[in-house]
Amino acid sequence: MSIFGKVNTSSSVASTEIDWESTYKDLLPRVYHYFCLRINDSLDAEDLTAITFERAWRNRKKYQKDLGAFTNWIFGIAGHILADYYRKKRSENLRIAENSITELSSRAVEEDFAHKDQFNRIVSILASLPEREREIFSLKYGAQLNNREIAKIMNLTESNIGTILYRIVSRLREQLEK
Amino acid sequence: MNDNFIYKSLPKVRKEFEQSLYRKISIDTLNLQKKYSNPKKIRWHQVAFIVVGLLTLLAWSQIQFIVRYVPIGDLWLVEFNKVTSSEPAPTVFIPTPLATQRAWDGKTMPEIRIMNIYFPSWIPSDFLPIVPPQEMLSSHQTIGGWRNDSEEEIRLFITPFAGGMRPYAPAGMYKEVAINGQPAILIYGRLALRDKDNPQAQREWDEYLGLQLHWLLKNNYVYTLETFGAYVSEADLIQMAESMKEASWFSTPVP
Repeated sequence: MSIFGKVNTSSSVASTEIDWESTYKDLLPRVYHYFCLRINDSLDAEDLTAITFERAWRNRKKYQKDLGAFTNWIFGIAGHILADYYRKKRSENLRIAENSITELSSRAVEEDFAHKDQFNRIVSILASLPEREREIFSLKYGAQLNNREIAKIMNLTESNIGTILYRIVSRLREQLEK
Repeated sequence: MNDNFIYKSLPKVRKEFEQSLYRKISIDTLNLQKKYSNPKKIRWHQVAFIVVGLLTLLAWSQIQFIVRYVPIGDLWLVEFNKVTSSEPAPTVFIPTPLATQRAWDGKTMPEIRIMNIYFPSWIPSDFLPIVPPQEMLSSHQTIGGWRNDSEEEIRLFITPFAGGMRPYAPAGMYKEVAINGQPAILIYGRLALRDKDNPQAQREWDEYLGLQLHWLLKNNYVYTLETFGAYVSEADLIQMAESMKEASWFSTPVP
């Protein structure tokens, strides 16, 4: 039995209660990947993921019957934590965008080397993108939100999001194939 | 759009991290449940908040019940803020031998051992002398009473000045007037029960119940003319007070 309380199994139906254990397993990598794509540091990404969950988990019962709202909420928290992280880093005069590609590769010892290399290349290409595009990309491939959810967060239209993502992915593919 | 290469490249979450975070938030969750199942601990800021609240309440109640002593001539008037009261009247009286004696309209005056008492020589028209009710428990002495056909009354009381008589009235319900050039207190209304049938009911100041006129005469007695009803005007009451003359019937024995 889940330590978080046994509840009904379906996490997709709004009217039933959420299985928090499976929700944790689903959301953890999404939050972690979101941070990885934004800050390029796996250990810092772990720290920020932990902070996000610790902050969100206490009040999760408020969203007992609405996983969608809980997911949006947890990524809202992640956004705030990321902003705090950037502020702190700025005060330390560190440039996040130029940071830790090598650090990531040296720390993530469990990852497959080929994937790791690919990820590092993707991250280095993303580092040259504007902030807004990096955020959209991270929400799509890290947080795994759909275009509609991203559009809502970014105050853009869904088709705008689709266009921007298409452009980024094309660019990535093009540069990775070089 | 083929974007599988992006998903494939994403780093995996370390098992140790996943499990340690799971344990951590599990423990936090259990602690949280335990915390909420126990009585809530009072924190210092909550204590401070309660103390400030109590002090504010205390200050408010002091302001509500505060009284002010207003000197008018040789008399002191107790001015209070509250126009309702469930307490007895705040007037201060000290009993005197007069309290046990009976007095009335002057024709059959009781045996009061006062050599020079005063009595009005002018009464508003339509008022006739009556035997005023005896007030055994009061420190003041009723020495006269008059009533008209509308059952409105005027009563005359005396209280030894040395007894510390203190008329009382809410702010705005009194004023200083002159009786033959001497300062006097004219009060509009008196405290009255909100529910006439219930003696325990809260009392409320009613400015239309009549007038009270308090002044000190040279025999060191505070005289009070009090009206019950709206018939007698302020001017009539002052005229009545100014007509006070030394009476000659004080040695009359009680019938």
